[in-house]
Amino acid sequence: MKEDELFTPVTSEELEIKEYIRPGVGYWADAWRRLKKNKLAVVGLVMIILILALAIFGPIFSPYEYDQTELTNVYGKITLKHPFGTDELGRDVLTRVLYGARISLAVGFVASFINLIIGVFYGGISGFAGGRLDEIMMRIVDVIYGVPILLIVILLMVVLQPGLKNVFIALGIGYWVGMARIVRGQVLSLKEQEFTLAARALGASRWRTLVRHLIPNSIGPIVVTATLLIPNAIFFESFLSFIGLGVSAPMASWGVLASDGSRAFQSHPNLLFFPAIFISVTMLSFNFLGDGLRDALDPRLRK
Amino acid sequence: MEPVIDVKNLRTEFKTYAGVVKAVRGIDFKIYPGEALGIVGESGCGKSVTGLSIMRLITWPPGKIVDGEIILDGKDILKLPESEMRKIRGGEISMIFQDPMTSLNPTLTIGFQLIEMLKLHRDYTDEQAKNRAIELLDLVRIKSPKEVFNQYPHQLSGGMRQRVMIAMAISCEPKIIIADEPTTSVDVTIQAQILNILNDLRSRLNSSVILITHNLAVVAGLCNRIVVMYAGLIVEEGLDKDIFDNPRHPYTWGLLKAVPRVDEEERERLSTIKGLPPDLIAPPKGCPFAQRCSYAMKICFEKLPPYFDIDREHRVLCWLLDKRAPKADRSK
Amino acid sequence: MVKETILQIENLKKYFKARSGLFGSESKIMIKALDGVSFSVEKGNTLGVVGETGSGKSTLGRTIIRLYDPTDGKIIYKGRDYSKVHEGDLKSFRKSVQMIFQDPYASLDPRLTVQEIIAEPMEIHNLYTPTERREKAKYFLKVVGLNEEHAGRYPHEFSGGQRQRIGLARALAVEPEFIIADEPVSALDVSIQAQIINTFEDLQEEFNLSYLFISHDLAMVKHISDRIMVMYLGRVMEVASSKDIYKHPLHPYTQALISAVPIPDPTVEKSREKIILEGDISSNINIPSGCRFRIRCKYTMDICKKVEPQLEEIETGHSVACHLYKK
Repeated sequence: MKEDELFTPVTSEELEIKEYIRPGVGYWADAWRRLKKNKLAVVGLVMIILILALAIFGPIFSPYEYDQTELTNVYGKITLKHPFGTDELGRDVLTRVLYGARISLAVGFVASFINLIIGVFYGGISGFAGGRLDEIMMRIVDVIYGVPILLIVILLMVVLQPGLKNVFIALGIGYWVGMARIVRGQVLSLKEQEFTLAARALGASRWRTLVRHLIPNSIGPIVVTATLLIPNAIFFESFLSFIGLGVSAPMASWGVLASDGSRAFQSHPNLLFFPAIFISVTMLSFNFLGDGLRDALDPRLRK
Repeated sequence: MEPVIDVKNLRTEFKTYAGVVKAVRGIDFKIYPGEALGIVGESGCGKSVTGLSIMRLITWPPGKIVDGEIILDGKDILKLPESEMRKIRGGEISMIFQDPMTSLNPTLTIGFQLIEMLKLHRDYTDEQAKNRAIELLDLVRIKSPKEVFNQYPHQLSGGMRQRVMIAMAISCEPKIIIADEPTTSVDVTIQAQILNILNDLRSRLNSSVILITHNLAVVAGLCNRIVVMYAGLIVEEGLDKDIFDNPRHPYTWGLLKAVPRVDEEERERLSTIKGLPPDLIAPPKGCPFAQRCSYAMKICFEKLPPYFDIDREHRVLCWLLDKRAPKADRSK
Repeated sequence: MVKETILQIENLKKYFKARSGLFGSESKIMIKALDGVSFSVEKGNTLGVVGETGSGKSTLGRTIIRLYDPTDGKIIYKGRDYSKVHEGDLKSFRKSVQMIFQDPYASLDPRLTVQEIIAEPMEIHNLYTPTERREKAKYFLKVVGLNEEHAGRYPHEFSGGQRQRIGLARALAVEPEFIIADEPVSALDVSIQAQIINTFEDLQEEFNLSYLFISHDLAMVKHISDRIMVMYLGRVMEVASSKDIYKHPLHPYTQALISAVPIPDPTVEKSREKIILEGDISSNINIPSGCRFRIRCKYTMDICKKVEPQLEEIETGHSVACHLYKK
């Protein structure tokens, strides 16, 4: 077409004005992209998936049971058949460690979950209510913070007697305060945002505003805090079990294994070494992931 | 008359994860001594980026001036080393920003910040600097300058902070003052004060002012020449009377008809510009306004138009000005 | 034709306690955001509220809709006083009176889809079945000029102007009679402002809505309002029709305000006389005695220091609170 012919007006059909909208990058997609860039966080995530896989499938594929004794092979050396050696009753350490993973991880997740629920609602209500109620609730939190939880937990376990159920109770006592503070902070700042005011102006009840608007918008910090609660829970369960106040034999969490292993540490370090490695790696992985998530989910860093 | 500053083919880009945003796509303009140039446009048109580019405040990452020359005093300031540029910033060219609260250091007194500014560019003793600082505060019509000298930013109102910013900007009697949306977040009576001060300073110091804003009315009062930007390009440039009384670009028509006038007699329905500005990561090959233009022709989508001169100072980037184009009836 | 009054405000006050003192303990410092405001709005009309920082205009909107509880005064809507009604009983009020907020980037819950945002008020007030709500949401999207197909998208995918429309659709979803618009277009570009304002006007006609239009943009307020109310430091200085406010402003503050509004016409703008107010706006904490505007007023008299002027009707439909005018 010669250029001169192009000077004809365009008809309105040809000029289809579509009010276009930018397909934006979602919150989670953007967070995932940012998380991927953080190498430590990715390593942590991979390790967690690995350990989870081992925990779930390991004991199934193992040729041994966790409580299968082999009295002819007590304190066995590291061999192909027993990659981690055997313990004082000839039980395969690898299998026991993988089985222990199930327990420790379960404790970690469940305890974390319990604390999450308590913390989110406590902090949410406190922040949303404001005023005197908020003050009272936060003073309680301050008191709990001030008391050394570990001592309380130990005392509690002495009273309640060791056992998995009681471990959950003990861990549910004090670790929710961190989550409560975080959620309260989020709610306090979101409370003044216009979409919260809009919800009230529409006639939403306060409960609805809290549960449908404020808490979902605090998901970022909640996820981060929950992720960081898990290694805490795992550690404390391990510690309790180590000092004999957690789960008891024959249920073998990593703490129990470490406890048993510590007795023969001088001569057979592998019995302490392997459970300890797993505890450390798991805790580190969750911490890396949690830190990475904190940066990835921070809305201010959104590009 | 020689221009104070001559901007040639300025191109500035920003790298984002979604692609490279071509914020300024080749603009040219000159500014003469003592005049006030208004750069008008809506958000995303590139006006603020232009101001920052002239000050060389575009940091990499993610932004970069990728082409062009900015001639000041015979030198291309885009090619100067940073140490030289630092002397020019605040010295020969200074800038006032939109939000004075974030532009002033909250932990230092006003006096300290003014003196710091003065001693950076001039060989003043402390005594001389203090006197000059108080003089400047008076120049921007702050009622008790000695008191304000010892106060902190948070103790001042928004209007006063903005005036302090202006005092800092004129402290070295710059040749050019760039004001980026100086009155946007300020009350209208304070806005009137600030525009009045800027106008006054312009004549007193014979500085040129570049006023960057989206507010056409503000530009009508202060500026004698106006540049209209859209999607990183200058679409129309002219004297104030050219732009308001004889605009020739459909975007300018749209803008003028969308703004209500407080002195309008009969209430007329505001005219709107349908659609949204184009994506600057992949800007259209033709005229950027074509998609939203009621007068668009086929060629508008194919090729970017050249500038057509209407008058000595008035030029337009639009195919409608080509003699082959049909007459465009503005009242449509 | 006498229109009925839909909203009547009597001597509305809202004071906030300022936290000050050594350990953040509450002291007796009060921020008097609203200090006795009275006016009425007729059904189908738009009352524009203008004022600068500290005028109390935003607080006014939020207090009327009971986001803040009034310190004193009456909010009489359709004959009933809602100023002291308990929060839990405000549902019917909140169905009939809705609000549009200023910041399009903060007034929509970023976690919900557009569909859910518009359907929420219907859910809260138990209107329609879930399927019907989905259909209604799409209908209101169309009414405000958006594409129905976008109902499943999230707020961040839309531009500022589009988000304000979504806010409008949400407000309309419960078929209110009165809408309070708090700076609804201030955060938007000029050409988009015009679009939204036109939509406002169209909706008013179609649904016979009454508006309280709060803004600092005098030109825009004058364009959309039937009557305008000028506020300063928590009180009303002048009320009149839009035409009269511009043609015969009586209060010195109104005169200065109007003079300060720039006109997009260089010949006019560069040649006209402008009233430049010296000084800054006083704070809401230390309100001057007598007339609160006297410090910036060039016509101050002795009486202005001692007695606070009351709002009096000087001409038909035109009231002023100023000692310069006596009936």
